[in-house]
Amino acid sequence: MANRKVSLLVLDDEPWNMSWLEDFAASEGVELRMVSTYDEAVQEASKEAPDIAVVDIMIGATSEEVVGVTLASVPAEWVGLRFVRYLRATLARSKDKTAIIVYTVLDRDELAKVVEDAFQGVYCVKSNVEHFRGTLLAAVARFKQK
Amino acid sequence: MTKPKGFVIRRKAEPAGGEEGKRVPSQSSEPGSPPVPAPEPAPPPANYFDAAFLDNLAHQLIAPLQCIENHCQNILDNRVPPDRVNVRLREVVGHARVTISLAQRMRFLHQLVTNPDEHYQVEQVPFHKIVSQWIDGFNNYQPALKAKGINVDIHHDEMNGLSDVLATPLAVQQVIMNLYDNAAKYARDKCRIDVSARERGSFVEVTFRHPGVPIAEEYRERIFDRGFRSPAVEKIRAPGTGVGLWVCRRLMRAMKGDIVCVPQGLHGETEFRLSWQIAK
Repeated sequence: MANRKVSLLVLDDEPWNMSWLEDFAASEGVELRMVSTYDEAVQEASKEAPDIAVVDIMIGATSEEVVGVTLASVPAEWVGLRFVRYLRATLARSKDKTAIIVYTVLDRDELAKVVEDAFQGVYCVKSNVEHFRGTLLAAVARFKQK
Repeated sequence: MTKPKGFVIRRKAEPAGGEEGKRVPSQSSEPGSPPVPAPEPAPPPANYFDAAFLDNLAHQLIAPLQCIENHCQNILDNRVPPDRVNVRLREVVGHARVTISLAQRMRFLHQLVTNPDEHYQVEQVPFHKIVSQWIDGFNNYQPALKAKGINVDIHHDEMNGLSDVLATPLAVQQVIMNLYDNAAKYARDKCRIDVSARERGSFVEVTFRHPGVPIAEEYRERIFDRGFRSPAVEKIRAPGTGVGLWVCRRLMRAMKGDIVCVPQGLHGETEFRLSWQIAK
């Protein structure tokens, strides 16, 4: 079905992002749900699986992890990553296909690698507005064409 | 994205283990032989604090700047309805102001570190403005505090009526941010932080109190030493470097006030008292 209403679920603890994402989603005709905690995210995703989930990967990270630490693994404590795990476990049992886009405020190549290794098929976008918007737009366009 | 927070110089922490990734395991050379402990993490390099300063600065500036870019890009792409453009531009101005304020605080902290004995120019500040900073600080840390179920009681009605004090607004902001940063790490889950104030002699004294990691009597002064971390904090592997409280005391004393940690018995509450001189 062409031009269907695409649903987008955003997990981000940064309230500043809300208003520009609202404008972005409205202009694309995307149904937007924004949550800031793991519980809210699970609740929303279980109500209706989103077409696209955008997850701030480092919610719950300590400042040390945000700044300067070289990560060798995916920290279990990160709320964003817990939600990615939840989505993947849930999606594995359902026919719904949610595109998962994770991002972080920092350009952390080693972090992207750790995430891509752990969650194959998850888009890990760079801390680059153009890249982030481009990835999101491409995902929206893909779902509109479905 | 992470919102800007109070500047706290950090050191590296050991990576945490995860479901997918694993901590570096203890290694055993032979089956049955005792495990060889993982090597101690290397101490931070001598210039680590400088490097962390820059990294932290970069991190804190990126979030508001990205918001500005996204809003502007939306406007340029005609994604914002005409009747909402002014609202969004006002938000952009707000983000720009936050960014500038951050940069100013960074410069201020640079002075603090490079000229540790310097006294800052203090000015007469209405106490309700300091109360506003406590509220702003809470709002800034709300996501971190909310994640731990922590709430804050700021007794603003009584506090707003207190005398003007001698202070440096940027320093006040930094002290408050650092205390909330500590509380977000060390306060007990689902507790309440209590912020109150009273006049005591020629000072206004603010009490910042919450249940949390207990501070033993012998460490109540040492926690203000640069780099010191109490064994209780080390034991729970809480992140941090032992610099935040040092910064707080340096700033409070630079304003001719002080910060102390006082014993709280039964519930192991952490209580800091901050004093600012009353402006004559």
